[in-house]
Amino acid sequence: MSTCSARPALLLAAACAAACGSGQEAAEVPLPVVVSTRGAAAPATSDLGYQVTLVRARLALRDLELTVGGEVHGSALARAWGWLVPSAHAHPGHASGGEVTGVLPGPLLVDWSEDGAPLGTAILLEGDYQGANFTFRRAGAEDDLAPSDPLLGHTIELEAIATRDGDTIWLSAVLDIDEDTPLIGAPFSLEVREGIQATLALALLPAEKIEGKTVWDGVDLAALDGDGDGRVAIRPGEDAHNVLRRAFQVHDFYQIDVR
Amino acid sequence: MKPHALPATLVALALGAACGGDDLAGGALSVRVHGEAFAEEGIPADVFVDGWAVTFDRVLIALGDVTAAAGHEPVALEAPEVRIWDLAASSGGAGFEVASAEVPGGAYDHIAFRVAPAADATAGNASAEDVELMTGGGLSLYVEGAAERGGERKSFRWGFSGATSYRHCEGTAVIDGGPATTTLTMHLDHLFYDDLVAAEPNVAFDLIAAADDAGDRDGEVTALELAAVDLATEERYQVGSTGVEDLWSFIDHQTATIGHIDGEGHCGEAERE
Repeated sequence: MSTCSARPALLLAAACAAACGSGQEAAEVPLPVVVSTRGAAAPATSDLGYQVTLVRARLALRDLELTVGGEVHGSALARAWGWLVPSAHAHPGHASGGEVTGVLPGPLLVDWSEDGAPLGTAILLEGDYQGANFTFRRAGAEDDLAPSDPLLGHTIELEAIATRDGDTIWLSAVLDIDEDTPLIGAPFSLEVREGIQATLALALLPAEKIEGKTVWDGVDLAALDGDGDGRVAIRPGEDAHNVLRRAFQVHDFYQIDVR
Repeated sequence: MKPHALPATLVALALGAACGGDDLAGGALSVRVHGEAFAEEGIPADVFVDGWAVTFDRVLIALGDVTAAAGHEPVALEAPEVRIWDLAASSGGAGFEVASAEVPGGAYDHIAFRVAPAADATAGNASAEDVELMTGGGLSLYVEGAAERGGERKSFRWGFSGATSYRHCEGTAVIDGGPATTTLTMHLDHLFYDDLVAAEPNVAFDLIAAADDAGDRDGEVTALELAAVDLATEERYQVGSTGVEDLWSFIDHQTATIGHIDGEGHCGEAERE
């Protein structure tokens, strides 16, 4: 195990790389992270034929991680980044997301209503990045939300308009995802070298292009509109909630764009 | 159980000092496989959140491609042949020896192994009948047993054919002039986890039992019955980005996570092939 003493966290990786015998210091590259609204409001047609357009989407997460593929002289750098990344990667298979060598730590509340809204500055070691992870949480006091905010105590808040066969349904949903649930392997591709100028933008994409799946698949909105008033509210404890929250845990629906 | 013969194909490689082991003398490294008490005595009710208890009649595993290295030194122990082990058999808490070799001194913290079907697999401690079951069925793992709760009983006989390579397993054996042992540890409770991504899933059987209730109600939970369980509306049994949709696929996915090292030690890579 690394015996490096406590130092400002972002210097730890470089210091340990030298102290632990790799003989190579890695440059730290700060890159701003913002919200990307690309694709969020694009209509997505579900497997049940609903064309759904997101009007509002907010997500509470923490610890955005950026990953490189393969083993990073595995040891010193990876263990150093363990200091920065509080989430536990305890089970085999997690490493399939790649080695974490970039991070924007701490709680983030992502609101996909304003393109370019700042989320913070990530620090990345030089490398060829291939993916991104983050951890779901419940919105809380650290988010400075009004007591009446529907996201408070929950993970995701959604509002959307769905149409099918000429009928329109207004959907609102509040989703709970268990604290510390990881999302592994969102697409992100960038060769990070010292001096690079780039902005990372977190995008929510309700429809993925390869298999045509959408986050709305399996949700029969008309069946949920029991009173026929054109409004459906999905809340924790309901079957539709469980279907939706599974979808929002799939990495296919997120991406880190590079600007 | 009948004693097992050491494989004839072991290779012990002469090499320089292992990482951090310049002053350590060589010795005998033994690699064992163990299903721990869960496999040999069962998983008790206090482990399950829903009160079931599971016992195993057979836990057959096809294990091969075992290697051991000290740090980034060359592999010092290599046992490629695939053998079938019954982890439900009593081992007195020690597991079963898979391979051993005289190796240079060092901390053997790079262990690798593979759980995969093999048509030419031979017996470790398994019977000839068990070997035929595994080789003929193309299986890497087979579990047979029953779950009980109060007066309820559900049996199961599940065979899995997935191949999983475990690498960079952080073994704790240190060779310094004497023998040491590293143990490939199989955690059978993983088969009953109720979450593929949570750091601390529950161990549960209710949904598995319900699969038979929704099926032919004959008291045996089959793979087909489990495959008919759609997880979409379940509050638990979260699957993250795995794409798993039914309960059989869920359990099958978990078979690639049972491999550990020296008890609770983890392997840096567990790759389902």
